Amino acid sequence: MIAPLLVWAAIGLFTALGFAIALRAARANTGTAGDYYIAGRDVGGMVAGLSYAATTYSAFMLVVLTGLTYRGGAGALGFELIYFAGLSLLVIFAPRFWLVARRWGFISPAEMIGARYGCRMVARLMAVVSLVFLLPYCTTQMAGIGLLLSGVTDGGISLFGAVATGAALAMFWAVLAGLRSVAWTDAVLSVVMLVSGVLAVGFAVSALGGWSTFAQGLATDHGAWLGVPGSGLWSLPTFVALAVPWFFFALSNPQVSQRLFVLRDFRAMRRMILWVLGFGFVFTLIAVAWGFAALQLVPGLENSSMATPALLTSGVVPVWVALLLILGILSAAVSTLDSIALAVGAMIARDFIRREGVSNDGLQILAGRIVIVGVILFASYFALQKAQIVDQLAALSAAGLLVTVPPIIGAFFWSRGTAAGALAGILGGAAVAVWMAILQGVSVFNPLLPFTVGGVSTALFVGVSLITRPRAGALDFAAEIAEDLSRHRAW
Amino acid sequence: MREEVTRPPAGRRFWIVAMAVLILAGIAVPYGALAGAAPGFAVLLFWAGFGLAVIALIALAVLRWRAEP
Repeated sequence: MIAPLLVWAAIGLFTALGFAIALRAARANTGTAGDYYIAGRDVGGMVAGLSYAATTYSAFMLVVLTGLTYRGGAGALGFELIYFAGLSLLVIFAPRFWLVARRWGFISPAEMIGARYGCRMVARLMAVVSLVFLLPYCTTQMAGIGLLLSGVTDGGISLFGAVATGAALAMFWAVLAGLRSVAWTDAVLSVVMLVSGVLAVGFAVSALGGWSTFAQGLATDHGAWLGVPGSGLWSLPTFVALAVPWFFFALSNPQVSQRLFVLRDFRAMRRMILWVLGFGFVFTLIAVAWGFAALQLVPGLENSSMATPALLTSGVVPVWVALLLILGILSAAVSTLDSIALAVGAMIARDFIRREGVSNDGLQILAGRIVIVGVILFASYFALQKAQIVDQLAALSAAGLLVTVPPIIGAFFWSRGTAAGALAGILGGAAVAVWMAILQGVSVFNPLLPFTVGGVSTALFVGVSLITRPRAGALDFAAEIAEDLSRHRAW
Repeated sequence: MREEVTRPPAGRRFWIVAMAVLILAGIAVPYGALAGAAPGFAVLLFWAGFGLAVIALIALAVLRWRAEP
């Protein structure tokens, strides 16, 4: 185990650095809603890319993905890389999101989709659905922090202490200066995540005798883990069930799609995507290599989610590297948590508080701050309660948020899509997701779940759109930005 | 609202097909051609190559963007 005092000292230093960055960011804010929620649309490519990466790669990576590698083998790499391939959606959608957000001043993705269909109810429904499926996901980030800190200190840091620490950091960074402080701290946190991961894997492999011994040990003792279905976990249906909803993450999750609004220009957009690709690929390899190292160094764990804490306390990794990796995982969780809280806050502020023709930026920021605090307190409370319903909704989040994808794609590529169709698709799909997963007990490992949810929401969106008419106030994104897309040579 | 009548650019069609084929291969090859093979690193190496190919295809698309129209 690692002495709790050492862990607290490392967290203290880390917190001081983060607070300094957040305070510096706060001084740059001008007090408008656009500045608070999307940093005045003036973020450069590197900061946006690292912030996007820190947001999308959560505590999931070095806790759950590492655990899935430990338990099931190579399939974890394939699953994560199919998700990674979902970043290809940015090639088509990033320029479109950015152009329409600039032209009409959108701040939240839900606001954009609502305006496209000429119906604020669409925006509000999208915000509510995001809230329902993302809040439990926040809870899992908190639980990840608790699992890690109490695990490496053998209970020396209580679950409450760990959760309270994560909550305080996320709350302060998001509330203080909104997206600007979140993006700046994210960028620094992403470096901590990557550097600590590289060092930790390096020491673990070194403890095994180097890369060739590491590989030889895997082939000799865990040969089945190198293929699919591995130890049995990664059957084709399981792989497809997990990979399909995650593939659409870049569109379905507002905390990442909102990042497309913050960019300064097309050059920044290109650099952002390249940074995310580089970070994502390396970080995925780190998480999987770490899982394979744990398989050899700390075999026989009953709970594979404990692979990371077990390896960190096994003695093969120097304490300072272990502390750095703990900060890396804490960073991953906090950056995801504060970004989700901020995105949800933006949706509530823009889609429920904003009034047409009335300047109430102060109220929008205040409302967002209240929502941010509420989201983080909710996540903390339920992480401590370990409520089963929250675990079920969290597991369902990727499949549940799929229901927002058809109206998003339709917004740019199907001018016949209507507000009624969007409402039916989102509501019907979400109801089916909850009914199947919560009431019928269909597992998230069953491909029937994402295909039914995606199929029902698409069918309802298309079917209802065909029998209804677009609203008079609906916007024609495709026609309005066609010339801009062409000038930027974007597809 | 008027219907979109312009055809998508040929480059976009080609790129989407290439990406779709790559993603399908990312599932079909490990679970088809490489399934049941003797224990080795073929699946891991294939997926590492798959990740690099994804990066290359995306980079190909975004590097053609014109930043200053």
